[in-house]
Amino acid sequence: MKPQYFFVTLRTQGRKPFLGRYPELENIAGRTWTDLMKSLPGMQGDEFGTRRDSIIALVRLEAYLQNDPEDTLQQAIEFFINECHRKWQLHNESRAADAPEEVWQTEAEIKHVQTAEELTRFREYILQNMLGGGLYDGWE
Amino acid sequence: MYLNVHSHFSLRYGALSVEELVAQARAAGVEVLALTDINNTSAAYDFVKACRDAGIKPVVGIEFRAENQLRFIGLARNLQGFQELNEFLSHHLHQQEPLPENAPEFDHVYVIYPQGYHSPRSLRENEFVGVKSTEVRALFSSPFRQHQHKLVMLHPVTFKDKVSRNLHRLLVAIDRNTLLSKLNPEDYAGEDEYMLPMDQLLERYADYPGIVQNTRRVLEECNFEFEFGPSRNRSNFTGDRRDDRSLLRKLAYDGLRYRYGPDDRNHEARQRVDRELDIIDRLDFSSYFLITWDFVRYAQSRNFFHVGRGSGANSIVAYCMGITDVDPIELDLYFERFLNPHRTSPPDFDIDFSWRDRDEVIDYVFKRYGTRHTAMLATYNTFQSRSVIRELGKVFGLPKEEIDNLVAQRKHPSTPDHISKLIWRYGERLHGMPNHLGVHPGGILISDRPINAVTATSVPPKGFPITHFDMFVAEDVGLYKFDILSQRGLGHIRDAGDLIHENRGQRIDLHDVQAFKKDTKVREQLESGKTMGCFYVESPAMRQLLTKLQCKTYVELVAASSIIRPGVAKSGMMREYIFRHNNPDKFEHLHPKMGELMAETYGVMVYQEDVIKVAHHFAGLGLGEADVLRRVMSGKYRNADDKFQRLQEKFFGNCQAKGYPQDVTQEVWRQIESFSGYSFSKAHSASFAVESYQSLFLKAHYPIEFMVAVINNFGGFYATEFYFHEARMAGATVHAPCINHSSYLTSLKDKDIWMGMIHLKSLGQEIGAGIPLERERNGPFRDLDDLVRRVPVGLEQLVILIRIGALRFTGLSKKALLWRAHLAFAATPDRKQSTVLFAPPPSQFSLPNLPDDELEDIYDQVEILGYPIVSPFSLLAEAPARALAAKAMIRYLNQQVIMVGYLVTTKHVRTSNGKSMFFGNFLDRGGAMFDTVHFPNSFEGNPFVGGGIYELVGKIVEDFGVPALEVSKMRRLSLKGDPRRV
Repeated sequence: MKPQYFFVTLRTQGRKPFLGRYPELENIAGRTWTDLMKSLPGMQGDEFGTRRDSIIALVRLEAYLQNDPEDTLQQAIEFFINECHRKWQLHNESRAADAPEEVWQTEAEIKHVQTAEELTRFREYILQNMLGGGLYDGWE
Repeated sequence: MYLNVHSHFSLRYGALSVEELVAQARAAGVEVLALTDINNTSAAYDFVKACRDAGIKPVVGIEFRAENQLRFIGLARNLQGFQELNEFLSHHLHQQEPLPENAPEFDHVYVIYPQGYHSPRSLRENEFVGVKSTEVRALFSSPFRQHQHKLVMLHPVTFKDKVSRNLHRLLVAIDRNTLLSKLNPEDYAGEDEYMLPMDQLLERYADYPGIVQNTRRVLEECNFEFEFGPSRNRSNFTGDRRDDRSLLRKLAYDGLRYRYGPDDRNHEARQRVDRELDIIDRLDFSSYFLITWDFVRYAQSRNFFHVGRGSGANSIVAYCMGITDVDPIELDLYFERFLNPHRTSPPDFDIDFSWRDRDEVIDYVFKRYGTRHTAMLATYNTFQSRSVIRELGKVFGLPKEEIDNLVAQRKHPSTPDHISKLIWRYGERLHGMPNHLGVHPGGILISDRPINAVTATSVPPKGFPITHFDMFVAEDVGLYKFDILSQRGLGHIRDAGDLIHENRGQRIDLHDVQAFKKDTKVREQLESGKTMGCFYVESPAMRQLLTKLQCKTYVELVAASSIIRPGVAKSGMMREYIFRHNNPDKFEHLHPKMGELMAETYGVMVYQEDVIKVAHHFAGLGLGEADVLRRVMSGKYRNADDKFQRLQEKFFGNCQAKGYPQDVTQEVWRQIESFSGYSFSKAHSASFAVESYQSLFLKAHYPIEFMVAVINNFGGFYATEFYFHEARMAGATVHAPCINHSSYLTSLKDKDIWMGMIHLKSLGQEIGAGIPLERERNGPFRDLDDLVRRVPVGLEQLVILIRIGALRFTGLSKKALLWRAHLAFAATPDRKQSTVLFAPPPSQFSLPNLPDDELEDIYDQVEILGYPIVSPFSLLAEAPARALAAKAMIRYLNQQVIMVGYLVTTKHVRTSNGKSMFFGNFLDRGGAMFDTVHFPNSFEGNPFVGGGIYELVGKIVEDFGVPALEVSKMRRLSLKGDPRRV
């Protein structure tokens, strides 16, 4: 079996534009995702982007994790939510920012990427739709 | 008549040097001048000297400021007054208490307040209010008009012209870390704070002659009658000079028997001890020896290692007392080099302690002699060219990128804009001005009278109190420093001794240097340059030198320790020395006198005292002059240019008179000049060589313990990776960190080295040290969950531990552990979680079989440690061509060969025509080191491209029997791809 790619979308609670409003949150989400993809064996991050109300990412899954890929990815998303939440809380403690405590929905939307063309399209989609470090707030 | 003058030691405020101030005063016809630097007394003594030279009466005081508000000015009426001022300022600086608005009740100080804060009736007899020349007109309606006897002229001086006023404003902006445009007028000095000619100054107060009279009277009554020259050091150790003498004699004689055997066999040494004791007593240095002995004795009682070096190592008394370990008879060292009536500078002992122990010894000295009498010396940290450009860039409001560009240019941009021009112009003026007080690396003063009698003291963060003056002023004041320094070499010697005891149950007498000198293994190691990790002799250049000299003895090592210094090496004398050493019958002396003077070193000047010998005996300079020349050469003389010029002229004049050929004189002078700033005294080299022998002995007989000690002390010439390599070559097995075996530092059991947690840099000290501590308290960790429960480790830290293999004892693969780590974190109840957001982890989540991969492990090591724990050659993607091994090089002289090596170090040098060339060091596949030379024509087409394994093509050359590869082509070999990244 070959590695497979999955397109993942994780949205904010109530689809509120938290990531557009709080560049720090966007930052935390990006770093947490990158660290997670580095530290979970068999799983590798491809393109990643933040939108105002969600993160979008491509994930490559090694063959040995493909028995139940959705369950595995859902588990990884949960790790992400957990860690991101912890860091966000720490940030808010030090900054006392007027910021939401609950950021993410509990489940991500996961789509299996079937072909190389589809993979290219998803990559392009992420690049075209990401926020870009808070610089382009309101760009959408 | 100026009683409020600031030098640039009003740090980040005053714009004028003492010399400029005094020159201004002289030109203005000033007869009395008071220096009142802001919360500082650094310039007091230079000011007094400069004023006396200029025929001006100096008055010394302090301007007390808090939060940029002038509280009051204190003028010392006499030396007691200066002490009062120093005590008051020091108290506030030490306690970090804000200075009060009112001065305390001083007995020997005049106090001058600014206008507007005090009523005339509230002033004490010694207190006045200063009236600025701009405030004179307003006196008409002031309550002070009726109390003119309490008024004095207050015309501060901070700068001298428009440019220096700008400098002052820039300094203030730098100090506030703010934009120049954001400074408020009250932040900086008024625009008239420069020195007016006396007649103009008096003219401004012409309507109030009483004020002028008061000012004159105050200044007349201030007399700073300080005598430069007499010693102000602690005068005795025991409380009585005669008792000091007796104690010193007893200690010297006791040591004499220990060092040289019983009385019937130590005749020569005894004679020398007697002679030295006589000079020490005559020059009143008994207490200096006894105090040094006292803190060395304390260190020994705490099992701290020390090395006594510097000119003090010329003394047999110091050797007998255990202050030094250098036998001056064996090396024919002259005591007079340390202490003689002609010496132009105070002698000093430099005592090194391990970097871990040094502060405790200093603390002992402070407690033993009392904080009122003890202080560390200050150094003046000045604005440096790059940092000042950065600072000015900030106050002019440039963005960071532009500042970086300016700093990177290092010289004026070719087309500077207006702001860049200003930054460069003022940067040049600020360069070299004092910025803040620093701490001398080890100089301590112990004074007879309280230290505040001569200086205020400050306390730097986490430090000991420091004087406000530096070592040069201390010398003028009559205070001789004790140098208590820190070095890492001693740390590894001590630690190696402890490790040997722990690991093998053996105690080594590390002071039995005489035995080390005779040790065959030590000699073999020295001769072959296998000295990695050994104190002072481990660098590639030194290893090569030792091999070229086939260095066998202590005396040869002493010489090698000095000729490796840059001056001797650069002048060509190192090469000449090696040649003469290897060919004692095939050279001619530059002049027969040179051969006579330096017979032991084949007529080559090797040590600092050789400069004295040549200047005195060859060129006929007086001993005092020769010593000045030595000091100028070693950079220990202030304002040396004039003296140097004068001595050079005399040197050449005398040589001409003696009839030496001009080219010989010229060459001897060139060799003397090459010593500038770099040379060692023989005693100093000898002290280093003793320490080298201790290292060499440990490495020869206990290589694994020794290398672990080196690793744990850090700071060696090579990267830590190569010390682990050296330990592996000595038969050790190096294990990656493990939470159930590793300590915070690297540890050793038999031949198993357990890498310490300290090497996992991103782990942080708290966790790195916390894991072994917790294991020690409550036993080994059972598994990952146990670790997470017992140690407050974060997910990132846990990931690092897993990836380096620190939980491999669990029997689980790293991949499985990483998944479990995330699961453990998701399940840990005390993490802050929202029940809405975070569902419990799926209990049925099952992991497939996740095997480890060796290559992934190595890449993890490279990422986390910076290097692989296994051989880096296992990472090679391509099988290199058949490569010559390092040990076979000598058999292929002048032949073209291919070698493959893992890069260890490179050294960049410039050729005489300014081109870059390099010397390199590599490890071959078998782990042996070899040296390479990369001339400009080869290097330009084949540059180093970072660490890694290189294929090197070139010719084997040799120099004094030491082979090297002269590289003509090289390329970095590609490595197997990182399997973790696709």
